[in-house]
Amino acid sequence: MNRYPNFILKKAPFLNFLALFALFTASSLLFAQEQIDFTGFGAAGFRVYDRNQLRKYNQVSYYEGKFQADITINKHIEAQIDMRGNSDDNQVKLHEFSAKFEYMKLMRFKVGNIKKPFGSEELLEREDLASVDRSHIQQTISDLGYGGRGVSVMAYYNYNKKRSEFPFSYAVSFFKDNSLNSGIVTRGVYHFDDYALALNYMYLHKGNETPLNASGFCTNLDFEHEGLKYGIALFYVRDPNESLRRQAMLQNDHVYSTGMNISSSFNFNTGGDVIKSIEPLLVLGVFAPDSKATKYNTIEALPGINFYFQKKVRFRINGDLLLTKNLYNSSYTTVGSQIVTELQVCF
Amino acid sequence: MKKIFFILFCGILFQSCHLNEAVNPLDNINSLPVMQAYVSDDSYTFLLSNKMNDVSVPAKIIYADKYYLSTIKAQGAGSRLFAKWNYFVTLSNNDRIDNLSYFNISGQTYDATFTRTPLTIHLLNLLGFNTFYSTPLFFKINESENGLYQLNEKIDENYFAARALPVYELVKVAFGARFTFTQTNTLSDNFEKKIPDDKNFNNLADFINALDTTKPENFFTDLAKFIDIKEYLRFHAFNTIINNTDGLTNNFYFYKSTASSPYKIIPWDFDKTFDYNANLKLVGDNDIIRALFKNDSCKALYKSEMKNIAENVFNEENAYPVIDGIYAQIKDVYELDPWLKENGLNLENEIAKLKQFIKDRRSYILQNIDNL
Repeated sequence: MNRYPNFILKKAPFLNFLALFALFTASSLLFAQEQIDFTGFGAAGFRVYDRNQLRKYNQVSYYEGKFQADITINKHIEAQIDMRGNSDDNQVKLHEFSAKFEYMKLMRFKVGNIKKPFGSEELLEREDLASVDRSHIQQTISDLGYGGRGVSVMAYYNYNKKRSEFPFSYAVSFFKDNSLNSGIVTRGVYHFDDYALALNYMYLHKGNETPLNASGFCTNLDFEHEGLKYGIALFYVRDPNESLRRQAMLQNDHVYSTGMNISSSFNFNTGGDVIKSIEPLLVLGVFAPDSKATKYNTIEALPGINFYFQKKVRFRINGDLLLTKNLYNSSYTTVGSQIVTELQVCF
Repeated sequence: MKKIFFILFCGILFQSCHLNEAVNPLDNINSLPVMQAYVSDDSYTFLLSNKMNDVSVPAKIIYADKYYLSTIKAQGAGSRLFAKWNYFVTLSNNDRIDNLSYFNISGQTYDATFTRTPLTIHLLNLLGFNTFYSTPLFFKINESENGLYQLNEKIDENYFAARALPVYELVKVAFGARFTFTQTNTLSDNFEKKIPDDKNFNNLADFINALDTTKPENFFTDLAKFIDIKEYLRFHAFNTIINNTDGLTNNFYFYKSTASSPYKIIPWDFDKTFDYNANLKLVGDNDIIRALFKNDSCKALYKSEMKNIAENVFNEENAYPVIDGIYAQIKDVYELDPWLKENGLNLENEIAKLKQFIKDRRSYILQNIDNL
């Protein structure tokens, strides 16, 4: 019955590799005149969750990788391709493509599948985060639509210390995704000393049979000086899912979520041969899904420590404690909390 | 002499070839479809080391003499831990098998008769419940004999679309679910939101809160806005009769057809039905029935539903033909299932036990229902 020998299946990884190799060779030839920089990271780790293991198993070993190519086409145009893969998906995916255009000193343009510039934490790359994962608040509001990536056109400027006469960063981004969401994100940042004070506004349109327009606000105060970082973030965003639910129930559909996050980390040299520096970190947050019922909330306490074998090689331990009091519950649960250990190598 | 040796040699060679020819007993099976999956060695090793994750690997499927590209991954909750575990197959290129582009391949861990799922579906259909498509098959991966499985339709957007049923919300009840807030109850831990695909459990929370707080005399006016009480009582009575120990705090769906309609029930996963090692007596326990029984009319309705099911649905006339039909389909391949064989199970004995259970259970219900 073996009419379909699986030699092709066995060869599939090799064929994939061959295709990828051909693609990169072709790209190299195509962009022979351009400069290409490769960056990214690889990570492997282990997580233990507090959750019903018959719904989803509570111990997960994982690995993931990011491979990013930054292509300088000429002095005005750059492009970026970001490929990622992880053990959950078991495949490599194109995470981001973007092109940057720089014809003016104080205004640049970025087009592609890029991040919505809402909140300082969202703008950080995964490998630049002190913690392994983004904070609970950031993940929650991203799920609501105030984060993640979308095909966008963005006008922006990032503050440059060499141009201190203009101590601002800004971004105005128009996006549209494939879940009938579209909107505008605006972000303004004032930089002074080692501080950055940011204000964000986002207009989110959810299309469907019952469309909804939602607004989100966010402010950040971030500080960074010689290995010491801390930041405070405040969020006030309309929950489109709950608003639509209440709209359907003919109830007040203006449901706003509120949250506050404080994060801090300090990287200090040990003078050791193996572990060069250590970075303890702490993230504290509180998030109320409904601003009119703040007694139902989630409190997050995420202590962690990063051990640097080298600037780009670190071993990390995070304990992410989530205390959640759900609607109609009178006490907090720790469901969703986790302990993570990870080795990350950036390049 | 050389000639004799040559003839002998050819004879031995011919005989050896004949003896070595693979005789696959499944090739002669016409009563049951055989689904064969081919996964590369690397991918299969990967699959085996990721049983607890939902990680897919590429697979080629042959079914009913047709060839499909697909992905395959482990499926299920506790059943992933068993030697005979479940799979989830997603076909590529918009292909379909039995009109499904993805489906579960369930090992029916607790069902030695392989009749419980079709039997339960048949009886639920007689009671007017929505059920899922299911068919038995023999499933193999990479030519090794994996055994008897059940191909089951998944309940999701396509399930409703295929039946032209409107759906506003779908929530799956997962293992150990509680339907009360008198104790801390983290809904995201015991329920799975399926439609819409978000983490908002507030409709369910409103229902559970109503179950906790509605005065019993107002059940049919106020609580009825959250759940179809009559349908739920019928579901509960049926699950109790069939001793479905895994079906009252697990393995069913709440669905709303519109935002304002009450929750209705879609039952799911039937390999623990007709559990003759358990005895749910006349009322299987969960928080919903405990709350509903505070109202005498609910209790009376439950009693009447149970009596009606025992008298008119849960009987030999309805059950035995289904059991016998499945028996005819699987009897020739039952012995080929290595797990069933290892456990020394005999299909005829198992079928006889099931039939006896139906007879005894019906008799128990009819004799005792008036004492409820």
